[in-house]
Amino acid sequence: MEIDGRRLAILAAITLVQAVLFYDETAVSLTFLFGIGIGIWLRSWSAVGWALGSFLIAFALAAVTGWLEPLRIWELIFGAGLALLGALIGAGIFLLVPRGAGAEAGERVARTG
Amino acid sequence: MHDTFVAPPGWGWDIVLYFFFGGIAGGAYFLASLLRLVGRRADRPLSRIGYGLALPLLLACTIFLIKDLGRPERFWHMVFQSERFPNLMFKWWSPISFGTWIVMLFGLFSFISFLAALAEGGVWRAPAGGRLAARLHDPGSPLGVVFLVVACIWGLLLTAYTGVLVMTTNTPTWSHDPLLPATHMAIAVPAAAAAIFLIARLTGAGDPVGRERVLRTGVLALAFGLILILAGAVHQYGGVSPFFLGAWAFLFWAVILPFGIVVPLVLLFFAAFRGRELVRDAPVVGAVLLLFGALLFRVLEVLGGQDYFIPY
Repeated sequence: MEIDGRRLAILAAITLVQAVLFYDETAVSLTFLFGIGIGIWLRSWSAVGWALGSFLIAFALAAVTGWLEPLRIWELIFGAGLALLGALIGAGIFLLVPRGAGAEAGERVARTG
Repeated sequence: MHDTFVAPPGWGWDIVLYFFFGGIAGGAYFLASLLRLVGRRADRPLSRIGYGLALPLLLACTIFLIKDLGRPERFWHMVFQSERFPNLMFKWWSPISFGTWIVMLFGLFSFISFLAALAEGGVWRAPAGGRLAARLHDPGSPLGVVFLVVACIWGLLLTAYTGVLVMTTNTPTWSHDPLLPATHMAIAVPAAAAAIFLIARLTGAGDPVGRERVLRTGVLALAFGLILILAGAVHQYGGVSPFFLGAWAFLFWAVILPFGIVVPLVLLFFAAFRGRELVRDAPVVGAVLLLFGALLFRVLEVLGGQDYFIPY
């Protein structure tokens, strides 16, 4: 996959925004929205890795700066799960739906001869 | 702000997102099953988008709910009796216990439908279980009709029960508002219609007629939702409600109501019922605004609904 400077800059910005949002510990859940966004943006399964990586770096930044006091391992586990699931949904919709649509078109052609 | 001695439930973003995505999951499942039941064969790709959204979003909602518990490792106490495992935990008089089982059974329904959608779309080569799932989604068979009718009802139940949950918290903002379950339903269905429409438009799934039908259903539900929200605001007038509390009131009257409900309603109504686009790509603009409006309404409801003064 091509990794250009613009893409890395956007991902870095997303990571920083997440880290700042994690000042409120319930906001770790918002990583799901970022995951969906990254999935829709990249439209590739690699989005899962980028979303997960972005979350882990953001979480580490927030933990080091003390924003995530008290630090809870559950937040890390659930946040990682949500980033992963969000990216799977965001990318999966674009990767799986067109295949399904194609199958439907094929079915129609077959039925109408 | 108003004095009260009832402490807020302490809900954060977990519950905001649970209400938003749970609503879309239930609404998408309802619309997908309705498309099977009364739609054309050409609408099946749209139906598959609904089924494709319902299960993954429900999985995310499960994480939101477990995370919100504070002691996530005890989540299984909601399903099983801890003293008498593996006896099931069900208290019919408790909205939380009732809701747990609505979510659990929705998980079963949406899992079956997810498999059927994957098999039908050719994404997954189905063994015997997949063929059974496909038969359950065939509106031509009595078994399929029964399953799809129950699926429609269960999707709506998931969207509405969160309203019951908020009603029974005893917070002065929303408690005992009888319109809440219907309002939750009427916010969730148009949001789900907007999501299905946008995905279909971006991926090219379905045909314009089918997409228009999805939008029409969303517009009708949104119009119903607008009436319920305004009735709720009148009902709450003079009480403790984020509809009338400082910055939350601004969010509702200046942002959510005009740009999240009225503008999308007008744009989508003209696009879906009159065939006129008031702005360029009006259905897309309307659907995006509608989704943002639905998310902000959940923020107002959950975070604004707890923003009252406790004098101790």
